[in-house]
Amino acid sequence: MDHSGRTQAALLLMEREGVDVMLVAPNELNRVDTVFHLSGYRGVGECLAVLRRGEKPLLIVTPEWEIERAEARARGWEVRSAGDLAQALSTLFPKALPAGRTATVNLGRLPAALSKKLAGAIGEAKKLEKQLETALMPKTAEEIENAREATAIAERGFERMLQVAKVGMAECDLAVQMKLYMEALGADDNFWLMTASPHNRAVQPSSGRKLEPGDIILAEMTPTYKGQLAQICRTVVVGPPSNILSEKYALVVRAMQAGIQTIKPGIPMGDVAKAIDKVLSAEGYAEFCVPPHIRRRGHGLGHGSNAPGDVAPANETILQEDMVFVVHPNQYLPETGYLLCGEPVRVTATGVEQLSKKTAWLASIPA
Amino acid sequence: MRVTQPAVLVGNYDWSEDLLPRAEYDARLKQVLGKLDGGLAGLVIYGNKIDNAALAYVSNFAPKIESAIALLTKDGKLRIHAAGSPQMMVNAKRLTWVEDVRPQRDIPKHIADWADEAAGQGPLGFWATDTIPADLLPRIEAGLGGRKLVDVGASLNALLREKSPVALKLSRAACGVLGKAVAAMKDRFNGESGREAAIAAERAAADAGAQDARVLISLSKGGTPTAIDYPDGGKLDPLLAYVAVRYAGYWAEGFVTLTSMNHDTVTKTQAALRAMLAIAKAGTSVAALRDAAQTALGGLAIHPAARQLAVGIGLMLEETEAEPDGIAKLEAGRVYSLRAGASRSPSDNALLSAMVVPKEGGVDVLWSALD
Repeated sequence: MDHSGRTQAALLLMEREGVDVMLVAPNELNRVDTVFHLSGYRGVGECLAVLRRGEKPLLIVTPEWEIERAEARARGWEVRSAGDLAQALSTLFPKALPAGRTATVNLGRLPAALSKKLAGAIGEAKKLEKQLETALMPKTAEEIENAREATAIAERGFERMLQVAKVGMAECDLAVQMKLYMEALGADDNFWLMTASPHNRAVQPSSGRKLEPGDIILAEMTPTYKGQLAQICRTVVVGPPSNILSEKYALVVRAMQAGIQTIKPGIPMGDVAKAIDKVLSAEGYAEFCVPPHIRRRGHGLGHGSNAPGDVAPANETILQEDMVFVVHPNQYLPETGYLLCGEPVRVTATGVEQLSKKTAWLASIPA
Repeated sequence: MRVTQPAVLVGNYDWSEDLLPRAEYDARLKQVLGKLDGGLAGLVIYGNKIDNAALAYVSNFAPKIESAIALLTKDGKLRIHAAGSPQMMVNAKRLTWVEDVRPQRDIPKHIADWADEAAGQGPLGFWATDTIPADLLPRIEAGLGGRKLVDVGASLNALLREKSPVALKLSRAACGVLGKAVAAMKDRFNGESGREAAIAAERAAADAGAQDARVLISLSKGGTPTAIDYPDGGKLDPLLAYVAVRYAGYWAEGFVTLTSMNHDTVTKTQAALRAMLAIAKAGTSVAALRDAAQTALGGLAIHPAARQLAVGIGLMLEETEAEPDGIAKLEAGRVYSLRAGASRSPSDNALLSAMVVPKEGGVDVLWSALD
C-alpha cells in the first residue's frame, strides 16, 4: 500500500459504511496522527482531512502560512489553509453536512472549544476511529524503509549514549544530548524514556537525578524518521555487572528471542506474548508475567496508527506481511529490578525480519 | 505561535526550590483560593504535555507524557494524578513540591472519588487549558452525577498573566537562554544548513539550562518558519526562524530573519520593530503599535504570523487574554512578545520580535532580534 492506496482504503470504508463525507482530525495528545497517516502531513496547528466520495481528498490546515509545507507533504491532496478551521468547514459545506451520511474520526480528541464549534457545523455523525485504523493498517513501502532508518538512528543513538554517559551526569542532560544527537541524524521526534536506579520499578521519563555507580540505566529510544517510529530498548549498568544481573538479562533476551522467532503471517499477535511468557514462567517468574508487573510485551509502531496493537496475550489480531512492531519483554524481576530489551521487527512473507542490526545486550559504562 | 509537540518532554522539569521557592506556591494558592467563588467545594485543574500553565502555576507539575490533574480543596490541600503506572510515580514526584502524587488511570473516577472524600458539598471549579480534549469534559461531568462543574478559567487565567517578582525573574532568565540559542543559530547560519542551525540553537538552549526548546525554520528561502519534519533542506538564505525556550516553566520566544544580503523586506521589518519598541509602554494600545509598524513597513503587508503584534507570554507560550479580541493595551507587570513581520511574496518574508515588560514611559527589553 502507498499513500494514495490509503486514501482509497478510506474511501472504500466510507462506501461500506454508507458515508458520503468523512472528517478526520489528528490526535496530538496521544501521538496518533491519523491526518498524517492519511496524507503525509503532520500539522503544527489544527488541521482536518476531508474525504468526500467522488472528489479529491482535501486537507484544511491552520495557520494560513502552513500551506507551503502542507502542499509539499500531502501529495495528491487538495490543500487549503485557513485562520479558523470551523469557519473553513462552514464555507466548504454551506448547506450543512449530509444528515446520517457523515462520519468523523478523532473529533473528540481536538481541543474542546474547537470541537464544539466543529460539532455545530457537522451535526450528527458516525464515529469511525477503529474502522479507519483497521482499514489503514498496512504500512507503505516508504514507511517500512523509514522504520529501518529510524532503527538505524536509534542504534547509533545508543552507541553514542555509551560514549557520553558518565557518573554524575543528570538523566535529563544525557537524555537531551541523545535526543539532539538523534535529531542531527535525521530524527524528527522521539518518544524517548530514560531512567536509572540500582533497582528500577519501571522505565520513566528522565529526571534531574544524577547517575551513580551501580545504577542500571533503562533506555527506550524511539526516534521517528519522516514520521515513522522505531524503538529499541536497552539496559546499561554503571560499573561491572553482577553475575545475577548478567544471568537475568540473558534470560529476558532469551525470552524476547523466543517471541520474535514465533512471528510469522497467520498467527495471532497474542502468540508472541505467550512465547515470551512461557520462557519466563519456566524460570519461575509466572507471577511477574501479569499486571501490575507487565501489561504488554511490545506494541505497534507508527505515528499515524498503533496497529497491529499491543504484543499482549489477548490481542487476537492476525499477523500479516509488512506489519511492523517492537517486541520488548521489559520485565521486572525481583532480583534485579526492571530490565529492558526490545527490537523492532517486520513480518515477512514467511517469518520475521529484525530491523535492528544488533540484538540487545547488557551494556556497561565505567563507574 | 503554534509549535510542534514532541511525543515526550525530555528536559529537566524537576521542581527546584532554589528557582521557585515553596513560599511562591503558598502565595499562588492563596490567590487562587481567594478568587474562587465561596460556593465552590473545590477546584479541579487540568494540564497536559502541550499546555500545563494552570497546573504548573500551582504545583510546578508539567506532565512529561500525556496529562495530569491537580485537585485542590478549599483548605489548600493539593493532590496530583499523573499519567503512568504506580511504579512511574518516582520521577513524577520530582516534578512538584506536592507530596500527594498518584497514578492517573481514570480521570473522571479520580475526580468523583476525591469530590466525595475530600471536597465539601456543592459544585466544583474547573481550570483547564484550551487544549483539553473535547471528549474528556463530558466524561468528567457524567462521573460527577448531580454535582456541577463550573469553568473558572476566565477568572483564574488573570493570575497567569500577572507576573510576580519571582515570575519576572524567571522570564528574564528564559530570555537569557533565548539569547544564547539565537546566537548559536546565527553562528551556524553562514556555513551550515537550516536544520543544523536549528539543532545548534536547541543545543545552546539546553546547555544554558532550558527545559525545552522548540525551533521552526523556513522550508524554502525566505519562507515562513514551520516544522522541521524532514532530514535536511540544505542552506537557506534568507532563513526565517522561530525559537521558543522554556526555563523553570517560563517561556521566551523570538522570531529572527537571517540573511547575508541587503534585503529590503528585512530592513523595513527592522524599522517596524524599532518603531514599535519606541512607543511601547504601559498603556500603549495595540492599535498604536500597528500604526507604527505599518508606517515603517510602507506599503508592505504585515505578515500573517505578526498580525497579533503583542502576545502575552509566561507559563503559556501564548496566554489566554481576558477579551476574545485579544490584547487592547500593554499592561505594566506583564511580559509580552512584540512581533513585527512583512510579507511581499511566499518567498520574501521577514519576521522579527522582542520580549518586553512595559512600565511607565517605556519598556524593559528582555531580548530583541535587533540586538
